[in-house]
Amino acid sequence: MSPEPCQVAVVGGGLAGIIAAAMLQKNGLKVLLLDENQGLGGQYLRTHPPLPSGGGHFLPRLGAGHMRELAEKGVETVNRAQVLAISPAREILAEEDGQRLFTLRPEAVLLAPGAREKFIPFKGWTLPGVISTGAAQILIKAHGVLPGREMMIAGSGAFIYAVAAEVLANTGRVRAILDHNSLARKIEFAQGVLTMRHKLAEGLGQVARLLLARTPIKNRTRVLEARGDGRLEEVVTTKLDRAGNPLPGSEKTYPCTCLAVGNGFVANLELGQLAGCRLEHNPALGGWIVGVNQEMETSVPGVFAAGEITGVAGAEKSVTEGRLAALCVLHRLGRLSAQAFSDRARPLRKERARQLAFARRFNALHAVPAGIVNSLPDDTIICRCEDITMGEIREAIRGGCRTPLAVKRSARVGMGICQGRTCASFLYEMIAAHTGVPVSGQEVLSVRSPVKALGLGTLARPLERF
Amino acid sequence: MQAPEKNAPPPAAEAVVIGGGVIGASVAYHLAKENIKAVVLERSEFASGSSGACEGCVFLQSKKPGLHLQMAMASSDRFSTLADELGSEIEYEKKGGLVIIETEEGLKAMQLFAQKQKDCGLNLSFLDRRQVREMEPALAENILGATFSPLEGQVNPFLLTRAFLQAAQRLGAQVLTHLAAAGLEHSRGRITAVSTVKGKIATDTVINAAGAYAPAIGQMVNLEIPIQPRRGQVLVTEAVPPLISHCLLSAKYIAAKFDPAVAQAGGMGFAVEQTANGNVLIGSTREFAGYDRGTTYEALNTMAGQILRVLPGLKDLHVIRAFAGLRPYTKDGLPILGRVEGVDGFIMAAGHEGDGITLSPVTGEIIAGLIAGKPAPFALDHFRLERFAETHD
Amino acid sequence: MTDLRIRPGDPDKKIRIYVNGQECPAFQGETVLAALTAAGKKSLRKSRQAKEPRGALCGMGVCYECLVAIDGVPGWRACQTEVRDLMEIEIDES
Repeated sequence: MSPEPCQVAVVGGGLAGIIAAAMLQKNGLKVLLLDENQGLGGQYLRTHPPLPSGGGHFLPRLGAGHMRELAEKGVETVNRAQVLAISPAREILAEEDGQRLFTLRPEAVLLAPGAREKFIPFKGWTLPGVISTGAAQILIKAHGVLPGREMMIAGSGAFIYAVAAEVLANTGRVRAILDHNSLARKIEFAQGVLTMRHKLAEGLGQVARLLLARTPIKNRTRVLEARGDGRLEEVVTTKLDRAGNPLPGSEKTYPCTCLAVGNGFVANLELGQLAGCRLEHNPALGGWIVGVNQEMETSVPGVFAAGEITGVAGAEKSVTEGRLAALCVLHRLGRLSAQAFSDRARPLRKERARQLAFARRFNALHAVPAGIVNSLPDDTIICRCEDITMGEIREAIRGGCRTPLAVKRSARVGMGICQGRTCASFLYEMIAAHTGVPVSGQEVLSVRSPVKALGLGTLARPLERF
Repeated sequence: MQAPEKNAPPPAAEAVVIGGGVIGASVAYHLAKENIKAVVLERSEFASGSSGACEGCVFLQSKKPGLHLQMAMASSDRFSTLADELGSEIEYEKKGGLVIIETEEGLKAMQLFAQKQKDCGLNLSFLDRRQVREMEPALAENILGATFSPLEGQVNPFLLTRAFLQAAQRLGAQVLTHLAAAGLEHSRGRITAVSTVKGKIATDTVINAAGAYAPAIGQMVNLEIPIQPRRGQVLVTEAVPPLISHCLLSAKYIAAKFDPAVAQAGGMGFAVEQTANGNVLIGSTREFAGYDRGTTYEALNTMAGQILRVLPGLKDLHVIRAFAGLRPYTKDGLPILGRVEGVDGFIMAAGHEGDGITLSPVTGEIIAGLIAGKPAPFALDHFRLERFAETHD
Repeated sequence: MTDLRIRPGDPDKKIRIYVNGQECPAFQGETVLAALTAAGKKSLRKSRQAKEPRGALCGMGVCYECLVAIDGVPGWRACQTEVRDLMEIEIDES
């Protein structure tokens, strides 16, 4: 362990975290960067490695550059580290690689744990062979492995097209893309992003690839059922009406052994919640997020946040907020004068405002129509960890449970090993559909430490002070 | 349970039970059996206090020999038929319980304690190391022995509370959740009403079943109720196939309960069980930390280390969360039950420390019997509120 | 044998891992999930209560569906664990 205590703990080694960590250390603060993966870079950089030619999108190069900087500046980094708990007084509990258990209490904490995939269940989605679009992207881009020779991609938003294009660019085939939005919605979206030049270029490139391969794109369509004996063998699709209900008679069956589904992303709020940070619900920014002020500080003094958890808006905003949060912490800890802070923060804040405005276009594509929720058959598994079905949850709601907490206690949904990370967002939609209370009016399920599962043996390790 | 929208309290009731935990639920049910239709006021969701933050042990070996143990034995008997009686699943399993002994001093202490319990009629046997490990192969080789009672069991405290409440409702009781008792009206030494934000309920009988929060209810009628919250932290593992087939307590756990010095010295002991769902619950501390229901890193770390010494095979299980409950503690380890002097109609039913689940059936029976004018199955003198004022610290 | 690798792996990084006792191609730096997926192995375990077949879902360590036993110890997330020479992986493909 380090002889001097760290002054700033950065949780999450994605774009926001590594940029902030490098800036903080460069300006004289002792930083500890904690990341749960094997290597730094988070979801974006592991799936967007810089091109050997040096060309391509600037973000991967930027990211790689900052990673070099971290090493050069001697930023203390702990990989394979899970942050298990944080208190409102910034007391952190973490474990490294299952081997070491330690606590630390830095002067400031920057939470940048990113986002995870949001899931909308369908009958049979638990069959091996059904993966998330994020998982597909990681396998293809980070490991050079195709999830399947031929795949189907289903869901909503822009990411499903990006992943379909990646499959095609990497010797795979795409049988069809199923999009629960209508063509009209997508045209509306495209018009809205015309001014985002590089995003537009990226998007057009993907669309071109899909058109060249003559990939069937089915609008207002979703998966009705995934079927197979012990593994995915076929997919039944259905067209949807305006309310999201399946249109009877529109079913089509496709042989399929690999299906990637994507419906947007939700922020990894758990640590922020545990620390007592005020949360906000903003559908334009992916739903529940951690509230921050102009100084990128949460409602808990000394706890800052950056990246997807302040709003799901993609890699560019994570870069901007990583920089902005670093400046804020530097200013707070006396390493930056008020004037210098103000001068440097101003353009970043402008950038951030623009990025937040654009994000709403992308996130709007992920609205879940009530028809989708209400039409799921009773035997659809909702809580995968504990095999709790739609029918059991409906029964709990009929029995008088009107809040997420009541349903959780009654039906046990969200009490398994993932602690609701897979099913909670859908649970909120279910309660909204049944009770009429919008997600923003519901109380988020509480979290308890440890926020991530760990071995009992790890929890029993000698507790060290970092 | 009634949806909160339909929450308007009735203008009058034969009795009002404050607290929708296992004790309040049992009282409401037993009252309904006596044809007294109570209104239960629960400020949050039912079983959201200690009843929803415990391990669900129906344990006899942890009870003080004497009246405490006798009550527990009577209560425990009820559990075998309770699911049928209440008409719902409560996941009660009489799996038998072992009190694990790890040290020589523990052995001596348990021999004395256990003999007293046997004298009270508890069916108890001493097992040596070999016998214990035959019963529970997952236990480590270095334990010295254990006492065993086939009567110990475990239950799902959430389902139990709900079952009592639903059975009470079927018999005419009303359960109002998300509605707190805001005040108690009394005149000339008698209760006249309970007030809430949604209206007043005229009544001459109020049962304080608010557990760790009972003192706040007592304040409403200027009564000092010496119940203190005593926190217990519990680790929860992922659900796994059956690993532990009995309820397991350690001798130290029982010692800490009755001897604050042992608890203070950090000898917390353990209480472990595997639920019907397959999760292993590992507890528990005994701390005075006010009403703070947070968990502490030190306690989680200590409990993990402690349990692996006796059940080393658990090391690869994932701990998925931890929680803390507040035991309603009284100095002499007995609950406070019955009428109080000076306020007619105010009836205590709280202070069960870590025995609320076990003692819930008999408590309900006693309180309902008291209100219905039946002879008490146990002398209530020892449970009077006034007993604390009569002893000298 | 199934091989879903997009490009042949770097021969300098080739290592040996065993899946249910059988040797499986793997390369230093990749995750257990990548190696299993490349070999066409999707079914990894059985769900806790209903005992139904499960495989990876999120690929990034939050869903806990891709749990496999490694070197005799159960409960490792295949998507978060890097392969190592001579690693023995047990999955339930039944």
